Amino acid sequence: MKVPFRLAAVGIILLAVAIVFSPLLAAFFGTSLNSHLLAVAFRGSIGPLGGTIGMALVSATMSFLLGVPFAILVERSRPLLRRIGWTLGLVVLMVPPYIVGEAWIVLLGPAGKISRPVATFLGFGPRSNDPIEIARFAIPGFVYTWPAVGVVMGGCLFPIVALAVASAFRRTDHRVFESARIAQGARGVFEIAARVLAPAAIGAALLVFAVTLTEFAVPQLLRVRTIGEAIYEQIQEGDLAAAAALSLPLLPLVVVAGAMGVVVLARSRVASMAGLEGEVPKFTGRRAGRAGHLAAGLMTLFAITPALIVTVTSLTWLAVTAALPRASAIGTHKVLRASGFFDSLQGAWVLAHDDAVRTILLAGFAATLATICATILARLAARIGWGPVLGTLGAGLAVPAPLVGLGLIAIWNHGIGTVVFQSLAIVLLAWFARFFPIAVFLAQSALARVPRELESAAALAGAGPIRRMLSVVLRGAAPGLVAAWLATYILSATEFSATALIAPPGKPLLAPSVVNLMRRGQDPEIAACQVLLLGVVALPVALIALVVVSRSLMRVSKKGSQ
Amino acid sequence: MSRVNRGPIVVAATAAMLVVLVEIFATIGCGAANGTGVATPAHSTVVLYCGTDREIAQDLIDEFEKETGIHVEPKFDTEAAKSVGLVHEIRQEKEHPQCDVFWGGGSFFCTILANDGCLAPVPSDLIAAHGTAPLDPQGRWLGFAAAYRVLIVNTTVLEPASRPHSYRDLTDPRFKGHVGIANPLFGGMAAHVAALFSNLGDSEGRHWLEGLKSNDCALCAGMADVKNRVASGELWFGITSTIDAHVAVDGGKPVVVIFPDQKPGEIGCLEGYSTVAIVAGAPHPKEAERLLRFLMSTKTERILADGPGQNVGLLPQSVAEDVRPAWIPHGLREMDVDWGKAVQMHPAATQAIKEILLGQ
Repeated sequence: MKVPFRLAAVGIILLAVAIVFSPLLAAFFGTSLNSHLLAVAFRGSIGPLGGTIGMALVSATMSFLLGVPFAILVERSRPLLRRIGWTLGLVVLMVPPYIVGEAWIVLLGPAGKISRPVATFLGFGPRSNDPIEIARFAIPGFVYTWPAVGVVMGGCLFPIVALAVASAFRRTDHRVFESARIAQGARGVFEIAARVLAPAAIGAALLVFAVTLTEFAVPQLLRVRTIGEAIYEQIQEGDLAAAAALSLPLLPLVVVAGAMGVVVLARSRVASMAGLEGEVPKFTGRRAGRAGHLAAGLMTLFAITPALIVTVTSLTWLAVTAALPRASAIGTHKVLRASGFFDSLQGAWVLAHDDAVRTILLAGFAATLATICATILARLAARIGWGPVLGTLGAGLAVPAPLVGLGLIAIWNHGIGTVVFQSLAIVLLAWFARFFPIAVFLAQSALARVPRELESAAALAGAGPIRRMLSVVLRGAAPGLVAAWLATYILSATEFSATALIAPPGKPLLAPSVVNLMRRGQDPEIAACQVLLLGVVALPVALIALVVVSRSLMRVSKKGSQ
Repeated sequence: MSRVNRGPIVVAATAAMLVVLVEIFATIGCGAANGTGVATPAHSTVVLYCGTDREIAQDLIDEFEKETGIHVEPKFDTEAAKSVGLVHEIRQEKEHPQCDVFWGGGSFFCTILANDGCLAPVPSDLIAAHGTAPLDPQGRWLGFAAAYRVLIVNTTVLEPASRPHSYRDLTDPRFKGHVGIANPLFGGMAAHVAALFSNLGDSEGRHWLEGLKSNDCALCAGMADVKNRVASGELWFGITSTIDAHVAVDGGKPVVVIFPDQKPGEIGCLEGYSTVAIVAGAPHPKEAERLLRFLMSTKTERILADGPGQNVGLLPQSVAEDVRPAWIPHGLREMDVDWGKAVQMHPAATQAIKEILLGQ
């Protein structure tokens, strides 16, 4: 490989590393570091660190337990059920975890709309008919524990595991299952499936672990003290360096978990290449019978319950039980006084429609740019053999959002940098710092799915590097790159901790606005704000789905007319 | 061999990306044409960092823009980080301020900012006209539009006779496991605890925190969260602000608002109020002053009293005209707080919170 090309590739990789880690370094070195305060801060972080790791472990386990059976059962079911299952699974990914956390409190909290009647029905309620005794009955607060945070996060992130398992399952030559079944029956199938699918599932679960480690909003809502909260305390005390230092223990944890995930996923690619990548064997194994379809349906319901069904039920409850219209306070922007769900939705839209449009455009732009950059980066890194180096970017996931925001202020609020600081570009940088590692990881996985043989064949046929990239690599990697785009879009559109800090004045974005209205509002406002945010997140996804479906239908009708 | 047709996905993704790119450039283009740098002179803009909730502040911002023609570029905080985010942003931007006016945060955080040299002196005529309304002794911030820290009580679980009447009732064993406050390490509750420490002294303040700990007091995600938990019946009562309490009352929840410590000899309820200050080195000082003068008016306080904020007017003319929501009583006994001293007590209060409530 030519030296200039290699140098350019190394330069681009270093630039990506700088974008991801510069906020942390700025926070760390931009303020005076007091060793005594640092020691005190570290002492105070030991307890929260235990809870943080605990919730991340529960989250990873939960996503594994939901994701693996979901993927296998849904993949083996009939096409319609499969489509419905995956659609619902992807919708789960679009629901911001803090909305799920709020729904859990409403339905399953100590005074939950479901938990309390169920406990009463089961005989745990008060024996007395005294209305005060009945009103005082509350369920011990499971939702306010770190395992509950893990369950919520695992419920939200299980599709990551499911997608990894399904990907491995689809790329496996199903003749191996059939051979095992003939030789050893169900036990043989189980053993083969475990060997082929376990690496993918474990790798993805490790990624879920890494993502959960730095979650801030859900633990705060569910009153679980995490390292993120300890970091926020240091920020409140004005000690940015100590705050940055507190995040250091998370870095190796995330790097190790992420690296293990990448290695295991890479092994799973090798393990499942029996039918050669890209050449999916015609034999797709035995399809499930009626019992299998039923199991797939039930598993889908079960898997989407923690994040989707609980949230939709809570939203419906809040909307339906909304109080009748009351006398409104004076003022145009009176979301808080707009009783009734539709009134509130209209009020939230009036107040925040500019924010919504701005968020869609900016998150879409960020996702597009991140996907393009991640694809280029992954391609360059693979060409010069630096693929594993990109794994270090994963450590960026360990940098808490408020630190990213404050670090960016330290970097860009100087001289010519203020041009960036005063524009929405600063928000793009924050989102890049937070989510670019995920886009890179997904792009790497997507590109790795494209067999080298196809590219070599195209080269032998005379295709140049650009044509090979466009017609072979991008075409083959498209589903994975779309996943990278969606992941970056969803994460960016729903991010609020860093966004609230660095969004330029006069250009608010939807997530901070909605989260604020949601926290302050009455029931119908809470429901309306959640629906607004979910609508904004789902809009581009729905558009893409619409285009795909209409293209498919047009193709079918064209074939029919020929 | 079957082939997966990925054409539609590629086309769809490319189309979506192109649409987004075109729209973003169109938006940026429109923004450049209409933005402050081209069509409108730069001096007609004022940057407002606003710790006051958006639904409360937006009417006043609109009114100010209509009245003066000055464009306001507001930046709001989140409930979770109430004011802390903006306060630290102003600190972080100290060398190159972006903000002209800081509205919110209360006297506690404004005093912190003032002590850090982040705030500029308020015009002397405004100080002279401020009457008995609260202000910084060194004239770096002005207070207006009061809101009170109250007890919000669920009426279905507590009969009138057994309802609390003092902040000390949070430590009453009768209510063990059923009381809540906002996390006192952050935002308004941090100021509240610091105020209690300055008023009661370190020893009694710690004693109160120990009572909270032994009573399993829930540390909620904010005062709005306290309101939600009490309204649902999960908690029996807790400390919140009149702003949040009114949301629950107005929403028909089974709650009642109690102004605590009103009996003779008790410390009175904490009066919080909105604060406004001009940031030192503000990029638009003249516009900042106009916004400050606009906010320091009875008209403003009346809008705040009638709107979602439900604030009580504190400016001399507002007091004379009795600008207040009808449900907030007259003659409230208020806690005597020296906010300068409260700021000094803040580190001790924070340390006590960590040691006692968090076991660090």
